[in-house]
Amino acid sequence: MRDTHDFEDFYAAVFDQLVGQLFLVTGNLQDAEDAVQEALTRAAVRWPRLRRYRVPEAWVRRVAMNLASDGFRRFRRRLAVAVRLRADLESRQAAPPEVPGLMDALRALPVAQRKVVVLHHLLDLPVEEVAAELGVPVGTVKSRLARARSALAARLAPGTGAEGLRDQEGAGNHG
Amino acid sequence: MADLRERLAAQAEQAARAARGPGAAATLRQARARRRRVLGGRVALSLLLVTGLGGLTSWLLDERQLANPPQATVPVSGQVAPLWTARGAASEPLAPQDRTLRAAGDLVVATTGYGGSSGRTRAYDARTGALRWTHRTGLNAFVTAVGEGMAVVAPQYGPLIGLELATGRERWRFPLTEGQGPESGTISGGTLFVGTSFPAEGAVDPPVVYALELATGRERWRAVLDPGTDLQWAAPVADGGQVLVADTLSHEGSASASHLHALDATTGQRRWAADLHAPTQGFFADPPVLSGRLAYLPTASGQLLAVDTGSGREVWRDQGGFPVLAGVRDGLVIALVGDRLVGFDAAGGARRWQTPVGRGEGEQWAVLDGDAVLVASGGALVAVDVATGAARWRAPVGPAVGRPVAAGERVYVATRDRLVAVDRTSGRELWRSARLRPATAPVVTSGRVVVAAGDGTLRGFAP
Repeated sequence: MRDTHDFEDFYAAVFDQLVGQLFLVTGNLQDAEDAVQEALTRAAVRWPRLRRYRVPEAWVRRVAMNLASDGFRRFRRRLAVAVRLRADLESRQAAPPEVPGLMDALRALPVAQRKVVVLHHLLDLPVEEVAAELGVPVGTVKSRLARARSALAARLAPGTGAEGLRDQEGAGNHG
Repeated sequence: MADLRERLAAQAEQAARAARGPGAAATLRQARARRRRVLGGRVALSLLLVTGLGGLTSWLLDERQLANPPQATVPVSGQVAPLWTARGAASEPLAPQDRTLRAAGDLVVATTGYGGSSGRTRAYDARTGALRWTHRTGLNAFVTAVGEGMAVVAPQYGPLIGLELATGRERWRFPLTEGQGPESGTISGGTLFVGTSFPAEGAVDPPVVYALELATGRERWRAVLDPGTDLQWAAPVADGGQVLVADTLSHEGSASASHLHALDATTGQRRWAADLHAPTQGFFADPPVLSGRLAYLPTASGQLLAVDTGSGREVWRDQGGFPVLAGVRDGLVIALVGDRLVGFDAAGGARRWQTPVGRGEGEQWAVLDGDAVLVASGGALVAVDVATGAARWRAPVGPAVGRPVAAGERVYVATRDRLVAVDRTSGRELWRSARLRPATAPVVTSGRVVVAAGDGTLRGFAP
């Protein structure tokens, strides 16, 4: 019973914020919710063990991030069809308000680059931890960050951080 | 950089505020169910569809009442028991192509469906429910096409496998490139036409359409389409010496447009590509409907498009909402749009009539049945006269699962709870099954009405 209560508390604490993070990766609220929900369902199956982790949320986020990659689109396709069968797509959940320019710039990046941007720039994880969370080499994280910054700098308007991004490009390549 | 962080945080906060999950209790129920079923990871997403069709879609649905209800009929009837029950079919509501049981002669072909790495395809005797054969197909087995004595099946990422329909004996395998997933196929004149996509997130590899010799699996041709697109679920349409397939964007911004492609059926050469004017992603399970020189199809932007099949020229379009196409009859294209069944002038697109049929929980289907259209929408089955658009009868059967099927003097429809039979002329309910949570639409063959139930069994009923 304690496990159940633990999980309920955990779910309540992390669902919304993980959806917020995944939204930056998927660019679509429904995708983000589905990925997080699936990851939390998997977490519930493993909860007796996961609850002893220092940061179980990191496990859920990693699973959700993975779901936002391989094979997830295929599921989304299935869901899209299911939705079409049941209702007009116009009546789907309203998208959240978007920070001007940001989501367009993020959507223009490959998903792999969006992930490193979120983990490094939103969650402040060092590149080593980003590498560990994504299961890729540190060098890969650095190069993805560098490319992402470069692309974001080109897309974000002057005075909104683009200069800072350019300034950081070198550091991204090396650090 | 601090500015970027602030903007990311602000955006994440906005999305978090809009987030709506099913909650911890529902998640725990799903987790327990998953443990019980001992299934693989991806099935949970199907479970979301199962348990959540109400929950997941209730907020998708605009619960509107029927504006002008046609005559209602009073549910009656006895509860009937199946003549036979067989195990081994998928228990989850699956994608439309998976959810359709395939009837061929005296056989019903079903898969164990989404979520199992050891997925199987099975063929059952429609009259008795006896298992005729089993094939170990693989991960997320599905039936690509059935016809001309063959069943073509595939695991999620291929290969395509040709089976003798009568025996299940494997005749050939056609390998696909890693990451390439087959969609629905069409069998016509000894050839399998099947589209494939690369559905991994971020992939922009172009989809490929294959023409394979049905008897041997030998490749006749392949057509590589546009990078940044995926093919829709719908099977290719082979007609008039060409093959029509529709694509959609792989993801936001992956391509500038989606197209309906016409390929030469003999060579695979592209004859034309019509812009669907749909800069968003959307998948449709139903293929284009052909009549005369025109093809009618829905687009991801919620339009009904009429395209000249000789040139790809757009003839007309209706932008009134997502259409569910019933078909073409007597110069009318009939489609369910929102809560209305609409008869469009086939040549020009003018709306000749429209009839409110209701909308609410459950799937929406529209099926031509002679001079009537059977509509499943809003928890009811409605028969509408093609010529006038007048509703003939309305049967409050419950939210539909899959398309209704007319056979003999009856119409059969699977609802979320049961299989229901109504009189084709009056709409009077004749019988209903006990609660079995149908996972597929029914098929009618060899004097039986067969449906897959939510417990993974097939049930065969007397008509």
